Amino acid sequence: MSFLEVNDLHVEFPTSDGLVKAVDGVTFAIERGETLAIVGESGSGKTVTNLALMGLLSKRAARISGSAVIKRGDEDVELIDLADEEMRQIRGKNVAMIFQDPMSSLHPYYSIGDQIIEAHQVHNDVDERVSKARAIELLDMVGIPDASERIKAFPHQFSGGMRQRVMIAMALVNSPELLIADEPTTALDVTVQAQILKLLRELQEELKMAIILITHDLGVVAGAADRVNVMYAGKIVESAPVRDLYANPLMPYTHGLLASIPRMDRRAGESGKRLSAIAGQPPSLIALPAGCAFVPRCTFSNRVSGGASRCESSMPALTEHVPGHFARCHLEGASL
Amino acid sequence: MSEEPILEVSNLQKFFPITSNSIFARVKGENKAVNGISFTLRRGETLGLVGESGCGKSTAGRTILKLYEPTSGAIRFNGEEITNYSTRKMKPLRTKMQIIFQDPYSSLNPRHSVGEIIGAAFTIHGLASIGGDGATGSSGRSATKRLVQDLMERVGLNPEHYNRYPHEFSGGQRQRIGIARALALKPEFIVCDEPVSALDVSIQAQVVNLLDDLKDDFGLSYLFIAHDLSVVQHISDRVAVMYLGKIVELAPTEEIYQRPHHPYTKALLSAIPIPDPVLESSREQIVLSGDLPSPANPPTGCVFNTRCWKAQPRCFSEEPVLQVVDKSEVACHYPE
Repeated sequence: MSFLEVNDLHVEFPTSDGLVKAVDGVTFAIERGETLAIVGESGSGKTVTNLALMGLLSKRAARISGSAVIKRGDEDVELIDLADEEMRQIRGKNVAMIFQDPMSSLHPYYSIGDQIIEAHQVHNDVDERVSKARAIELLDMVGIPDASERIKAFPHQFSGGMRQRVMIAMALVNSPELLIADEPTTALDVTVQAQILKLLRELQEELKMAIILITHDLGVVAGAADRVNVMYAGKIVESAPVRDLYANPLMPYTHGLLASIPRMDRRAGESGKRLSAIAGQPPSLIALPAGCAFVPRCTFSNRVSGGASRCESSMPALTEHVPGHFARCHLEGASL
Repeated sequence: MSEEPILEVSNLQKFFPITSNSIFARVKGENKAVNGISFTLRRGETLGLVGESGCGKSTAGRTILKLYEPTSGAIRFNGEEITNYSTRKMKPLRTKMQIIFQDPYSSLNPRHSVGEIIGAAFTIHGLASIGGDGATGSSGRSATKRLVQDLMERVGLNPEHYNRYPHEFSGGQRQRIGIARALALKPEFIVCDEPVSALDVSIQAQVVNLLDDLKDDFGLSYLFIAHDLSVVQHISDRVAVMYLGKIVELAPTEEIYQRPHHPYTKALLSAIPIPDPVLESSREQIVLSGDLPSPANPPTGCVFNTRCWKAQPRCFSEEPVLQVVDKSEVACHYPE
């Protein structure tokens, strides 16, 4: 069994306009030391999937079903439907999370030291001085100069990149085995993004933790992930080792995404003057079609045996086309 | 593209006062957002203006349009010096110079229908009956409606949505509304301030293609401000790289991406993740240390000297000016 196994996870939000199916049957697994990227556009369900795993969705607002089993020592813990008290034991200790916006995810009234120390104290019955030493050690590890002094500083005294380092230090203070990084570099400039990605790589090597990297940036994924899940309208539509995915995308959506980004490493003349955009827009999560949600934007559906009507009426299964490479598409052998 | 310049900017500065936080606000210092930039934009050209947050690129764009009063320097539009024009004198020129904003959510009035938003330009400039027979009243209104619907169609919106409100549209569609509004008065020059940064990847390509097409159809010149260097490469003829209020390198697009001469340009390009795992793993990355210095107190000498890996004593005492190196203009004492 893998370190974390998610099986047929559903998250639905009842709204006055109808039932929003934000996550619609997601299944995946991740091993220790592995980086799994979850890629998709806004509304594809990548963040909600992970909020559900962390028990961070309001039980009144969201209907969650399915299973997510994580290894904790020798025991297996089911995360879905875990009592709040037990979830608090795991969250921040076994599983930690860093968020997109380092500006709003730190408390502006407390020094960064107090915030990191609190995160340590919650899970460890030790003297505050021990926690403080640990906080300084972590700040030092994430590359904040003069950590023993800076621990007294407040969030507004740091730049965006430095605040993200503080967030990472806080997440790692209890040596979690799984780190969920939700768009960790989206709010940062590219040169700072490079620093943070490098830091995460080094820390992962050192601490052997598993990372779930949620992002919309296919460039970041290429450099950071071992395996990639592509999500569209609440479903995983393709899952493959990172090199296979980029070399040979099997799902028309992934294919379209890769083709639509301008490439800096190719000269303008090579790729042609126009970008090959994916026409149309992502579907509404309230009125999802019976079949493949990508059909209205798909340029390959006419090549499916049975035609586009088959794609519209029946949802293709996530099928293993090449060993380790899964895609959700009716296309014969998924040859794009 | 002709050699004739549509816009000439020379030694433009825009400083914002930093005031103390009391009722008797005293000016404590100056935030040197744009600190002496010079360039020309040729008719029909797209000039990319790139840099990280806080480098002054957006301020530069807005100062050029006189949305901010320049501190010093000169702006010439179509040979006419507009630096010290009053709001009243600027008004007729506003039909020629327009702007597209980054955030399609906050740049459209939520209480105005799309028809009103796009049509406002005609009303403000007393052109409500343009294309008609000079009639006012209801025939003027229907003429405006026809014009607005033509524009909506041109930017890929359904003209029947004339009476809808911004919240009924997706991010990509809203950006099209912003583009239609900018095009309404048939401008010659548009400042595109991060026009695709807030959009999903698959929608970005659609909007980039639209901007490309409109440029040819309407004979536009763009100042394209962005932090995403891959998009800038795709759309620009020349690129200017800004750092801390200064242009550090200005070159034809091919040249700047193939042979960057300024160390900052080099680091910036190397920090951009390329969506190709094979290339990404073999690529040499220059990870800059530290953060951007404060624009209120820029370093003396070269502005990049605090993060440059090849800084020499001269870089701390003498400020480099833009000089020609091969086909580029570079502000560096020791160009690559």
